[in-house]
Amino acid sequence: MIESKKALIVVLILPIIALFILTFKKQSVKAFGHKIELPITGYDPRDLLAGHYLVYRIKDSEQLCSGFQDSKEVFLCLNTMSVSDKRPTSCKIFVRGECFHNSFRAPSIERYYVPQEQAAKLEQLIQRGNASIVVSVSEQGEAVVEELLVNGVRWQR
Amino acid sequence: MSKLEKSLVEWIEQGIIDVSQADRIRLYESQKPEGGWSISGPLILGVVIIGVGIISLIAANWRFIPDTLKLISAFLILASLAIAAFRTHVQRDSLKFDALIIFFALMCLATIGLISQVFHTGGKLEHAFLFWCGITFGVIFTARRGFLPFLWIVALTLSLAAVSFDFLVDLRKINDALRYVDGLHIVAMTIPLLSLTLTTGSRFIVGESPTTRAFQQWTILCVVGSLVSAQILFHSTRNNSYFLKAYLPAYILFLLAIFIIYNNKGYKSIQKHLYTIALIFYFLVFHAGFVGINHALGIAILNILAFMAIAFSFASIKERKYFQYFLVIVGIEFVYIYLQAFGGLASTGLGLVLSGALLVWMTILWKRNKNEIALRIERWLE
Repeated sequence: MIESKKALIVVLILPIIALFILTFKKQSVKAFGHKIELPITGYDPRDLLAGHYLVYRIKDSEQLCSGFQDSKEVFLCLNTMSVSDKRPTSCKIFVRGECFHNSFRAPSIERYYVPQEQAAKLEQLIQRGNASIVVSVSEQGEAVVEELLVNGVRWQR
Repeated sequence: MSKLEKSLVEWIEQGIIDVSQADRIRLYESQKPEGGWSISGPLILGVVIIGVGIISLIAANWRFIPDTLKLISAFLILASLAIAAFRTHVQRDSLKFDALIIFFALMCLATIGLISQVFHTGGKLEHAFLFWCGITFGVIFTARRGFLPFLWIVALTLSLAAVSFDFLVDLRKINDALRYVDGLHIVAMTIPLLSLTLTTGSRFIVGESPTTRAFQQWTILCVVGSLVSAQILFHSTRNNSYFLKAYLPAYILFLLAIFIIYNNKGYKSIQKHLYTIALIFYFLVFHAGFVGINHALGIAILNILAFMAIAFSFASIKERKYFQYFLVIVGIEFVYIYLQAFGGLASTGLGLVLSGALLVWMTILWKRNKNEIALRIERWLE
């Protein structure tokens, strides 16, 4: 059992620092990353802890991973919409992801939180193919979703 | 009149203690930290409900509050809780301290949820819990009571079980012979070993603390659950294929647990040997098919040997309550063996009467002699 005051301070501060670093990393990608708009298709599962969110896929991401093993880390070049297993040197904007049944998946950008009462309507719009996401991508291929657009306009409108 | 007071009055009347001794007992008991579950239970429950409420509120999408304000508020609450916990620790108010660190740990989880929501991050729930377990690892060792460490180890082991099962599913893509039920079997074997390693590690580093005891309680539940599941899954896993990569974590944890036990000077030799024997029987249950045991009766017998070894391990450290629990489980396994061995009879009234009578007779025998049996075993193991 930890009795020392110094040790107690350390164990109480560490989680706060870890969470702050996580927030800072995400915010850095959002603030300084390259912005790009990607059309999406998807569906809406529910999760008690995480609130209500939409899950979708980048449009036309099926078959991008033909020839790659499932769960393998790959890089999708957003300029050419092609996948490689090595970090692309000539591609301006690329996103890290993985392959699953020949489809490219980027878990970090395939979820968007929405209010419960709006979820069903937004889901329908995404299914119809009228939606896209604005993503901020860092130099290392880390991506953060900034905005959900419906018919080119922010979903809140 | 409280239970203690009633006991003191009875002991004085019986001449076991005198009035001055009773007064000294009263004084000693009154100076113990206040608590007991009648006080700490509702308090902890209240804090947990508040924590869950906060998580739910965050999960409900506060779209009218700017994200920056949400994040700043979360960090301010965390900082305030940390400062309050530190101050109550200095003031030696253990009940308030425990409530605050539980609140702090749950607020860490709530903040993870908030960050996920603000930045729309993906990832699975088990990854969030694993991250939470990582950042609050130090906090659980400050707990005066076992609630937070118990919650922590449950979150850790169940999250790792989920991640392991995903890994085994991926492995299955490489080796079709590895079936889903084999994956369940391997996870059921490995998770209690992880819990055991954490328990022995905690005992080795911090001794008999609330954290160690909480880990031990969860380990016991895991072990019983996994041995029972091995028996239930037996028919499905009888011809399971052996895939070293899948079994390797269990072997590593087994060796690690043995290493820690044998290096803990707090255990006597007999205790070390009993723990090792219990672990070997436990392992045999999950490798029964590979050692030629292909009958449900064989698994049940192995289970009995494992449970008895565990029971004797607890007897060797005078943990009479756990010793008795495991003997009860052994009794239930004997009834199962009887039903297996006389399967035809069991379907008749006579078989049911006999098996019920056996259970009643064993229970009465145990009730009359449990203390004497426990005491003899403890002395024999000294």
